[in-house]
Amino acid sequence: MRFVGRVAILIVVIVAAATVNSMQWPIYRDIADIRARTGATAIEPAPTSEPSAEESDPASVPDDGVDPDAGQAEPATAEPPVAAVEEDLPDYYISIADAFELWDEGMPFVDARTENERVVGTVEGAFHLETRNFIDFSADAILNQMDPVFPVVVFCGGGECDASENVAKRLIGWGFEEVYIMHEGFGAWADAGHPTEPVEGG
Amino acid sequence: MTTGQRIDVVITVFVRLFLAGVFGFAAFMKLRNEQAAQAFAESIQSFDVLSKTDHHHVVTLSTFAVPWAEAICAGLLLLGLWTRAAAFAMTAALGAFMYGIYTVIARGLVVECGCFGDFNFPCDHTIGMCQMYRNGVLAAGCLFLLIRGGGRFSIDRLIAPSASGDDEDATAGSFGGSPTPAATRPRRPETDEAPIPLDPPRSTPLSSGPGEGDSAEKPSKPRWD
Repeated sequence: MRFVGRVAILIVVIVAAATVNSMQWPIYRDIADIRARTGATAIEPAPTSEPSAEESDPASVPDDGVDPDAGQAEPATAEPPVAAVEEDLPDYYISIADAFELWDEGMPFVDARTENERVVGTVEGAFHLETRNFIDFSADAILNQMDPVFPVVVFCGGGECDASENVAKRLIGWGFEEVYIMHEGFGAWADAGHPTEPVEGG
Repeated sequence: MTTGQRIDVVITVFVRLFLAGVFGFAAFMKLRNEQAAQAFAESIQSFDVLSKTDHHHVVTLSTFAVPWAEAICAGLLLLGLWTRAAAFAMTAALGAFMYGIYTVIARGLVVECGCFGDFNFPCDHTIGMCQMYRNGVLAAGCLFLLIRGGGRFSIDRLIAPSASGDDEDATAGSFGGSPTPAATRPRRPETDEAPIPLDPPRSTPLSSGPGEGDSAEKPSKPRWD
């Protein structure tokens, strides 16, 4: 009976320690969770055109769009709203075309793939950030080069890629106001003929 | 101590220290900072055993319970305190890990292990049979300690009420511990005065009358004839 009692005491102590620790360090389920819990505002609707060129007709804003800032990301062309809306994808998912527009404006891109996946190349000028870079704080040097008020686009290999979501969560936690995920991935970017570059040492 | 016993002692201590080191390191890598804990939570999510939306509280509890279990059990194994209970807890935990790894391999998922945070040795960071073998070796070590106890150089032995026997609770192969003669011997109650007739006062001279001293103090005491 003494053995059973000790195991029971161990379990109680472990659960108690875990509970106390979980209250200190919140675990975010996904991007919606961290946005809700940190009070981060909803991401702007994905841009479908050059946002800052001129004031465009506000009537063309998609009905689900929440755009308090008139200077940001207003769809102005005849292009239909992004595919994300039709496919019921999260509002922070953007198409390759939208991502290229942001790239063209000089917005930072973040490659969330591992070194093994990056050997095929990456988006030209993209930073490389993985989850582990946030654990050992090696991401700080890169993040300090980026201004959180500007949009940032995260991408990985496409498909079921949690790496983008995980890095995006951390960028929101860092203070980035607009974080987009190029969910079709690097492969679709390269297929579209957009600029790529080889990875150093890859 | 025979040579066989010496080898036995060395192996037990080695297994204890090895497992304590492995589990302690694993716990440290998962609880280094908030980001490490978040990364481990994402690893648990990616196993797809627990639903991301429905079981988020379970994921959160597991995120912290696993490394805390590893940390506490590593400390206990290091000291040799409650060795069997700690070994049992880690055997159960390793069993759960191996089930998770089995389901991941069976479904063909590509999942980051997160077992030692972002440290990957000897296995790759992606879940595969290597992790299964590694956990099997660790589980074998835990089972060894579960059966044999903490051994000679352990606090379990130090605080054992009985100096004889192999281990505090190793005797007779029982997890419940062995009865100790000193503790279980029936003791005479403090207030029991019945044995007095068996222990007559020495000060009573033989020449004095049979009830003069004794019966005067305790006149109502029944005497055994």
